[in-house]
Amino acid sequence: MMTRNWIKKVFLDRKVEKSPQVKKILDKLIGVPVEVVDGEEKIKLELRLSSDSVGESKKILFLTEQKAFIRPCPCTPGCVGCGYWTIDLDINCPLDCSYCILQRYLEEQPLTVSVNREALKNELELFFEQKRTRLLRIGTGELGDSLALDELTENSLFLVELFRKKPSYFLELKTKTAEIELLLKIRPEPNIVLAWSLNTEKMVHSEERGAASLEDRLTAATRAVNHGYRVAFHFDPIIHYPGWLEGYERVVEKLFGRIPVEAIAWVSLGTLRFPSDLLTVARRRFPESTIYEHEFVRSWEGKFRYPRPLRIKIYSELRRMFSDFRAENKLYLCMESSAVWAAFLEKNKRGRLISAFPFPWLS
Amino acid sequence: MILRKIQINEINLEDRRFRFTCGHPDEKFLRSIKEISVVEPVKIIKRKASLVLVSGWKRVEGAISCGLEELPGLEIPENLSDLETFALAFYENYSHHQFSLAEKSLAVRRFSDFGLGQTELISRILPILELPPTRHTLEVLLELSDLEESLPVIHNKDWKLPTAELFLRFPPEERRLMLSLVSDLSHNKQREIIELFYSLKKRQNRNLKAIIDEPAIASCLERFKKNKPEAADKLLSILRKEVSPLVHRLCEEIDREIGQFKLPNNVRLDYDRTLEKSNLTLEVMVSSQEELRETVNKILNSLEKENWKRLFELLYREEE
Ligand code: SF4
Repeated sequence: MMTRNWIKKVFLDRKVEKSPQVKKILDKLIGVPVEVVDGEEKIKLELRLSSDSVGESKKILFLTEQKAFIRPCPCTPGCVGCGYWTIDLDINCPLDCSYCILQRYLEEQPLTVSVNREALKNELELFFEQKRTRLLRIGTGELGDSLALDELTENSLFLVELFRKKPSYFLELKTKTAEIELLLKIRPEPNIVLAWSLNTEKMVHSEERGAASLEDRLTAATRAVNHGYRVAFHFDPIIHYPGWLEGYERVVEKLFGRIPVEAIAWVSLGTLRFPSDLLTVARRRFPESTIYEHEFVRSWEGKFRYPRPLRIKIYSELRRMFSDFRAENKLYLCMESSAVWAAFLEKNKRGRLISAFPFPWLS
Repeated sequence: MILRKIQINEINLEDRRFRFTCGHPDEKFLRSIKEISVVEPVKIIKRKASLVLVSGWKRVEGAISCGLEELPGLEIPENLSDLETFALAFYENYSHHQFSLAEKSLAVRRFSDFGLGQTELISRILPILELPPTRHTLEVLLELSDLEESLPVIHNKDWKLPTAELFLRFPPEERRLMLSLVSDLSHNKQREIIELFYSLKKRQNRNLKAIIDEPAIASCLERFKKNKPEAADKLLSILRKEVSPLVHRLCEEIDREIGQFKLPNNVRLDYDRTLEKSNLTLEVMVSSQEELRETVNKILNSLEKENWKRLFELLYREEE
């Protein structure tokens, strides 16, 4: 995906005008208009004037700075957490998935790249100092795709260097792209995990606008493994539709046709879930999509989810598919209730219920 | 501005260019006019040869119903443009009136027709109307303002923006059909019925007419004509069941099992009807230690029955 081809305009925060990182990025965006601004108000107004402010926000790049970058993943109240931490270095995403929660969370937020990396470096050093007790996973894919803007920002390279020689901190770079060229030029580390969100070909095609095809993602993952990286996969959101079972079966077969189990750090499973206020936006922006017209229940935290018996069925089918390749103990559930975890673990006969991480096979 | 008595028939009431409010005089309002006539002047402006009403539609309607022929009027200088005049009407109402969504849509339509630009509308008017200041909201409001037939229902039942937006996704003939079904119901029921119909339509890839013609729904709609509120509840329960077949089926099975327990009257078994939680709650109402012992014993005796096992199996069931 050539991000630079579809960035329409760059807004540059006056505060970072002189940053060398800004220069590097702008050098890759020759011909794209640049406007210096004092804050986000002007950009927000421009976005509000667009019929599809969410779609438009994905074409506007805002280079700025940020005070703090690291925070614990909020998970969902009442869910079994996986002890994840996030680094919000890029906010918003140039891809456009029909189920993306950012459509609601980040309305009127352009593709925002913070260029004050030194501040991140300092914050991260302090973080490493403070959290020395156990293995930690930390990733950049919470408020965007970790690699979708990498061609411009080269943030992956910067981050990898910060995590070298920090074996108990796993850096996860999660993506739906095949943008790993830069990462293939550097030496991998066991604690650097490149992760792909996977879905069935049908869902990739109909619900994940702008993302790489399943084939391309798996090819990229294979190249990453051949280069020596550990990889991870996220089956999230798993979508229930006529033919879902065969669809996911094919994905799992393809996955293990290419990737050896030993190269996989973890695999998460999570069925489609969304807050009610996403419905209006998503139905408007994706009128052809039918994923929102399924049977859902309002779960304990107010999100819509498939009914629990169906979720348990889906997870147990996926577990079966993974066990065919002796990979079921790589699985964990993302944002699930303890009732569903209990049903899942009963079959899996492993692990604990308090937290899905650290994983026994990594410690 | 000139304050004077005006003859109602001097006003060209056909010219509604400044009207955006949807309210009509109620009993109380009419009684007050009968008692003390119209005290607060209406606003008018000269356009071509006649007077056009700028604000005070309810007062004029009330005066006509009460048989008055004249009322106090404040004549606005005719050199004011339509946009300036409308802004006057808008802000006058704004200070003492909570606008409905229908009125907001009409206000935006008037501002737009009188030449206020999109940027102004979005950044100045929408925030005043307490609506998201986006072009999309503006487009929804403008579309809504054209639905003359629907606006009275949208106004009277105080619809919110998401309901209106979903309603607009139906083609015009389906909107008419739906309004004929739900117009007398509360906003909450209207909202839910619209949502359920939308979901079914998309899921089953059928039009509204085909869904409504299903025997269960059709017979329910027949009853609608006689007793709407009761039939509306029935319709809602049919639609909810169609939209949530799995949960409904399991809840019915669980209820059937619970019904067969024949537990003492002071014991109530309950469970989470979304089935998110798999536990059962048992409520025991007792007023003495003796009664508690007796009740617990009865529960313990019932534990021998197979139903309990089936009940827990149902609560833990995985979809087949
Ligand atoms: S890739 Fe992730 S962040 Fe980007 S649009 Fe899709 S779901 Fe949202």
